[in-house]
Amino acid sequence: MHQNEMKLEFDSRSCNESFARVTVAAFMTQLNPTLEEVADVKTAVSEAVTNAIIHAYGESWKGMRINDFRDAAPSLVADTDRTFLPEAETEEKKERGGSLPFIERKCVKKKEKIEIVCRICENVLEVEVRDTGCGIADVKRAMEPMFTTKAECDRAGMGFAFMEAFMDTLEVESEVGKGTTVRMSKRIARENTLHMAGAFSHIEEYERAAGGADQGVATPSGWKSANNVSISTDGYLEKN
Amino acid sequence: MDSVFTIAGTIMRIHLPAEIDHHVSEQLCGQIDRLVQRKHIRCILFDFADTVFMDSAGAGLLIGRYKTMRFMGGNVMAVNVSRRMERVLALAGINKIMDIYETVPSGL
Repeated sequence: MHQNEMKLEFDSRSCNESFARVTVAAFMTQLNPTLEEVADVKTAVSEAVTNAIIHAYGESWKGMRINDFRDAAPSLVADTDRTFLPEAETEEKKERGGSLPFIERKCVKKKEKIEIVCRICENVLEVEVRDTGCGIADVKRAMEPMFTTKAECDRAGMGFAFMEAFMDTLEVESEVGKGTTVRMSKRIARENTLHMAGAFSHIEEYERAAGGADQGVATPSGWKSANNVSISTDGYLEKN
Repeated sequence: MDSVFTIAGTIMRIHLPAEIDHHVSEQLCGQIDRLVQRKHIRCILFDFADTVFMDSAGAGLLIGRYKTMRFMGGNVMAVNVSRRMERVLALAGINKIMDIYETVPSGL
């Protein structure tokens, strides 16, 4: 049984990514999360929304010529193949007598919507990101780290791996041609001391080792994450 | 875009924006690649001083630049990396392929 719920629907455009994650972050503040927890959720939401935009709706507009859009929707086309070099930009600005905001070269089809549902149950935040895009044929394979279908677009293939790492649970439901639903949840430790309980274990260990014998330096034990990156208990990262 | 490119010889320093997501990284990518070609850049310094948010798209940006620079015999490094950014970079395995510094190393 949820105590609070919100629903958000927006067009599949990359400029909405920051809007989506900030909205979810604002919603979760009522759980009194730490900054770290907010950042975790923001990253996970950003990954899910980016996946929907790039993979589910495929950014089919990419590679299309600007004239295709001009015919379709003249009002949407503000800039053509504009360069982002600082020097080129200033020259362009001079010509125009001011700067125009960059508008993506994209016409969004009416159906291309992303829906986010957030629920708060006690101190657990549930986030559901839904799309009605192309769907995933092999969910298990898609969730493998470094797996990507769009390597040429500089994708790291780490989307699901990031979601898994930053949230407590992750479920992906998908049907080819129908769409994908990503369900994530994260327990927010209301008493900030709660999630710190395990954080000092390595210090105790250190003291025990240092007090027991003159062994010099005792290294805190770390745990292995899925990607073989060793993360010590307090969140510090160590290079392997 | 509030990122600023500083070029000294063949070294380019990129002051990354506060948030690097898919939207921002796509715009940055084009700018960087064009500058690298035109100014014959051989070393890219990603400055994370102002960056508070990065997701896998940002990681993809770094990996992509690393690949192009490696192809041309160049180098890529990340400076002013905060604890949070370090965690994200490590998750993507970037700490294994490029040098990451908490501050700006002397001599640069």
